[in-house]
Amino acid sequence: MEQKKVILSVRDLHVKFCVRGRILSAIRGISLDLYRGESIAIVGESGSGKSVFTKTFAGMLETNGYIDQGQLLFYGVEGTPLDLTALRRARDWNQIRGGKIATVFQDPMTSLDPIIPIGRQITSVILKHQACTKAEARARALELMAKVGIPEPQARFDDYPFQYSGGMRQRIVIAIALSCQPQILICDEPTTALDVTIQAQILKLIKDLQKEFGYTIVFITHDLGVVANIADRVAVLYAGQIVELGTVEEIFYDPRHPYTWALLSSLPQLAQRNTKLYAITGTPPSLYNRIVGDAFAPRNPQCMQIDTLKEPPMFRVTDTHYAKTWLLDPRAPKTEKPELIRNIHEKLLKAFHI
Amino acid sequence: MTKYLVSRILRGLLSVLIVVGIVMMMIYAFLDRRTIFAEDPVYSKQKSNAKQVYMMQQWERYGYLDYVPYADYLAQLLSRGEIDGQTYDAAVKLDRTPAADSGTTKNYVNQFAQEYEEKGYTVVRLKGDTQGNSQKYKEGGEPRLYAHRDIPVLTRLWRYITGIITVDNIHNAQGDVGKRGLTFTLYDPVYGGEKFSPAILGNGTTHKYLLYFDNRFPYIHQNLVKVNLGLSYSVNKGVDVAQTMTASQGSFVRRQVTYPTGVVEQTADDLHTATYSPGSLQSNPLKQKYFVDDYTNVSTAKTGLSRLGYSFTIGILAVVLAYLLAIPLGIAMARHKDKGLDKLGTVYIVFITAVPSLAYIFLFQSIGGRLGLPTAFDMENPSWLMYILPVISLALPATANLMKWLRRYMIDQMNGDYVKFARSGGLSEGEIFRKHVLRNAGIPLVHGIPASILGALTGAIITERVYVVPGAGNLLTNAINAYDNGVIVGVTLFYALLTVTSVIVGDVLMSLADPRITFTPKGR
Amino acid sequence: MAKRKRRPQPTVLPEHGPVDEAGREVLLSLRNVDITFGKGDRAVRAVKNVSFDIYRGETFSLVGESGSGKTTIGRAVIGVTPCAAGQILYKGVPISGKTGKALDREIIRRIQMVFQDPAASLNERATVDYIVSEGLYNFHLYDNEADRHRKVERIMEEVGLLPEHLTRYPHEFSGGQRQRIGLARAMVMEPELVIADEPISALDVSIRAQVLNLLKKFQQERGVTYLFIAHDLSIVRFISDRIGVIYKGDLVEIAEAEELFDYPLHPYTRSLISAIPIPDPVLEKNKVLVTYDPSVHEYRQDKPELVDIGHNHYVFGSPAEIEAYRAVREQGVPLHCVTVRQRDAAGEEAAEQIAPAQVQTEPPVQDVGSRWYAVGSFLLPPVGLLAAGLFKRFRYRRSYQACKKGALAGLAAIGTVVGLFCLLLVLAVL
Repeated sequence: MEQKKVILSVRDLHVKFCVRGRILSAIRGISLDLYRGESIAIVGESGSGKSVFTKTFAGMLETNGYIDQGQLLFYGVEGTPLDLTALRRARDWNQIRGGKIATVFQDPMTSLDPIIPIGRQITSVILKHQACTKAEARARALELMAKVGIPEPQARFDDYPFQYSGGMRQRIVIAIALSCQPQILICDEPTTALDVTIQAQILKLIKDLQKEFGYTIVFITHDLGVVANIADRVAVLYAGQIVELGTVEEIFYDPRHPYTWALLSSLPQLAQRNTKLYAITGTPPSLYNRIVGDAFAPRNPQCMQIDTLKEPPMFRVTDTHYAKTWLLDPRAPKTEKPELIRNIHEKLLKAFHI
Repeated sequence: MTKYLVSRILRGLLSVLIVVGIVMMMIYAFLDRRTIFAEDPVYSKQKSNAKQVYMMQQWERYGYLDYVPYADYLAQLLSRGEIDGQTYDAAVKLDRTPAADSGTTKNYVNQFAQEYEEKGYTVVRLKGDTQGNSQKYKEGGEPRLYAHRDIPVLTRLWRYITGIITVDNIHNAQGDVGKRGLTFTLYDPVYGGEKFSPAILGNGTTHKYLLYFDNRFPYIHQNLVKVNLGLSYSVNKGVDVAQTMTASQGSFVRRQVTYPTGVVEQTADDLHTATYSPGSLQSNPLKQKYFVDDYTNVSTAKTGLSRLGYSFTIGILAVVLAYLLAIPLGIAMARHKDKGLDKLGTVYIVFITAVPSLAYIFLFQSIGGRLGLPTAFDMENPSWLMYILPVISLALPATANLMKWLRRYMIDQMNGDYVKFARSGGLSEGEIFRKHVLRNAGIPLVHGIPASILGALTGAIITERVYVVPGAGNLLTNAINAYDNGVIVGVTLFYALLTVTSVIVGDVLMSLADPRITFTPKGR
Repeated sequence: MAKRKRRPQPTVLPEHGPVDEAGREVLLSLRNVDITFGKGDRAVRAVKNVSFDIYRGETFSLVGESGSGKTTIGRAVIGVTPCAAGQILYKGVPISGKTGKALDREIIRRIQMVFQDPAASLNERATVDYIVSEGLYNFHLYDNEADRHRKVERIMEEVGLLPEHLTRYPHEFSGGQRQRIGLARAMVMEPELVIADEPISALDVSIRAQVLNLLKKFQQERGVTYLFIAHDLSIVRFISDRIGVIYKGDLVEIAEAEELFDYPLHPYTRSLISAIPIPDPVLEKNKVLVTYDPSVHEYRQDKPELVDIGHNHYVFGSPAEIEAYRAVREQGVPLHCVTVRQRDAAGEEAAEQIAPAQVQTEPPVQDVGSRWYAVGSFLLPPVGLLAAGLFKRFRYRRSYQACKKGALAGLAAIGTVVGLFCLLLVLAVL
């Protein structure tokens, strides 16, 4: 395996929110290295902290949230790491946002300013980050529009967002995000609001452009089907912690954490008709309270006594594969993953007549 | 878009019509018609039968009823040649009681009564009112005979609506005026006939000048089409409401004018306003020095603005000031939400909302007075300083209102996804506010701009009263106090038109500000 | 089900619908339904000549992209959107067009709807108790207060909520719980047909499973029939008995779920199936994306229609296409519609790269054609004409048009005023 260059290094990150006088611990100690040019998927249910996690290094944290402890080191082109937690002033962040780290949001319908022409929305970001004339910015914007697959960009340059369909708007959002050649592209559920056929096209677009622009993709989603499409590596988040981290093959073919098992089991693509779809019982724990032991324990059918008492450490499975569950402890009883998610590959080959 | 606008305008006019109809119904059908004499000094001087007749005459003039005195009937017969002068003289004499009438009189009285009762009139015979037992009538106590018939409200409404706009015609002037027709001249005789100033003059029309230029805004004027909103009874007796609102006020302004006879004088007479007044030249030898025809009824040019003019000047300045203050303040409040500035602004908004407007207007007046600003309007010695206090008194509360809404709309917009996306693209907070938030938050405010501008025309009642501004604001209240029904209807129509217009213009403006709004009907 | 006393309700609907030749009871039937929006030239046909039957106790799914008309059909069934042509029959009784008041009430009670966005479809200011009981109140479907309470509590339990939730407000619940409230609200009416309009697309994967299971449970226990509207075939495959695929208002294919996945005959169906994300990195990453190109059909001469090709399978096509489809189906070999590229064949992909666009670099930089230009030109037509000329010279096409339009309108307005004045002058002379 070739030596990968780290672009962002997260060390023991804790993020807290102050909500009506109560403290909510949204991120409870995440350590993760992002590599240059890879695409990593952050998977979890709503409330697991997957959006908050990316917001911390995109400088988009809400005003009532703060980084309690931890380090966020960004290795830009210069080589000297930049500690993002030390950035206080808005002006410093404005250099990072858009220029170095860009974000694509979930809903293309509301991500664009409704009363400003598409072209001007693209050029304003280009003009912000690059020293160029308006005519150059326009040329660059038109080129980007063509790249993201807008037919006849010249004719559509001065159209307003409402004249675009949902898929086309998401393409524009991607064009704006890419307009300044960011090194990290955060995609916060960019396809959830889109039709399946459009979703496939947008995912292909993001991957195709990665080859050209060479950005690192951080893809937030709760849909494992999308993860299989886009990710090289997967981090499964639960209650503000990474519970399993591995390459996409490891996560799908050899998952180790019961939560990952549960997520895979609940996929309708794998389910047999006229059976009950696997559902995770219960609800995620409240992050207002201190969590004792394994956060997933109350919903875990394979729960052991130790899970309720002591938080499990990250166990190493391979060099790239880690899981945070006591099941990997040598003393734990041998537990197999559920029958439903064994031989995924063969099952799907059959189901889709491939 | 055109189709939509036309339908909107038509619907607007229909609603105006309905409003005016309802108001007319209320004041003409349900109010005691005697109330119009409440402020009439002539009425209180009239006595006995003359009072009855005076009432009839006024009611006819103000459109309540048709009124035919017996003498008019006879005169009509005379002019048609059905009776001769002798019979007329004999028949017109009424005695104290019907029984005492002479034969001829009896004959024609019966004929009169029969003819008008057939037409649905009520015929009234007032007995002579004598002093004690003598044969001498009291003052105004002569016997009277007349017929009258009420005009239904719907007919009134129809007459009112059809009479709102009148177009002058060369057959309007009664009597002998010579050759009727229009003349077009490039050199207006008012300016001595040498200055180039095109004008269209009419002979036989009500107005002499149908189109002319002068040095008052908008420099080109016409008298061909006139708007009549209704005659005033007591507020400005016998003058049309439109005239009352638009006539200039203040002291005379004298200019050099060449009269039709060629006399050149420094005068305030505005010859462009000359209207036809039959027989005026003959009866008034003074006028023969200046005029050659019966177009002698001229109004005078005055220094001041009209009622509408004052109200509008103050109102528009206040609107501009309010927007100039409110936009930066509202933005600042939204940007620094929950900080000191925002709290201070909120205190101000609460103050303006909570304190009655009369109170703070007096407050501004006393503060302004201490600073040496004029606290009352003076038309004789106009100065720009006297506008300051009324404008501020109007602008500050409007500012509070605008600030409140702008802040609120901006805070709504700040939570929008597109703001987040713009921020993630590296735009600074200032740019986000300027380029995105303000423009989006401004859309709902744009809708109110025409309403506030046109609303300035209606005047501000309290402010104008406090600072003694001769504006249009108290016209309606005065009219209501004086039971001046013509003015009430006229002003109602005017206000209704303003409201309808401002809503339509507001919608058009909003569609301009927001590309998503179009006037083309969509499929769904 | 427990026998319960109920005051006799005036019923307009028969107990059972008509039975077709295969012995299945038809609950809902659409016959050549057309739905149009707008009038005259602007009319948009959202649904074109759609016919299908839904049998009692089954789940029928309508699948299509947004704007295909699938939601419109659902709204037409509950009578919100009127049909421009055709008929909707419920148990053989026409329910579209003019219907009596009694029938309307019956239909509202028997057909319930579950919406996509649970947050938007629940009254924010009402307690859950009221939201769930509203239908009961409206139709007075309870004997006394205790009976109503019992019914509401039972349905809450069935959807997996607790009785203490009844006094709370919708905003206190998570998305999944709100969708359960929506479900409880529909189910407490004991409907025969439930129209579920994308009931799970706003939910997390784990909660989706819970809601889907709940829908299945109600079907097994109460024999409810579902009209399920979705854009995601993977869920539809799991839950439906039969599937109808709709494309731009045309129903292009109807078949039983497994039949449709084994023999997706219409190219649009194939593109939909190929778009399902496969939760397997090796397969998904090398999957070839099939996009549907409507121009492959030649419909100018032969009008297409929905034809039964056997096996309860209907496909939309011209007679020639239908022949071809039939031949493919008769071979009995399941069709491949998901193609996976061999790993070493990466070279193929390069061919799919988007062609570089020709970019015009000269001005105009911004040619917005703002409507303010039009307004300015309207107010000052000569300036507007001048600006239009300048814009044209520098090829600002939209701005030029805006200025021209405004200036012409302004000139027309001035002309009208002057013309009117002249006309009135003439009138004055008469």
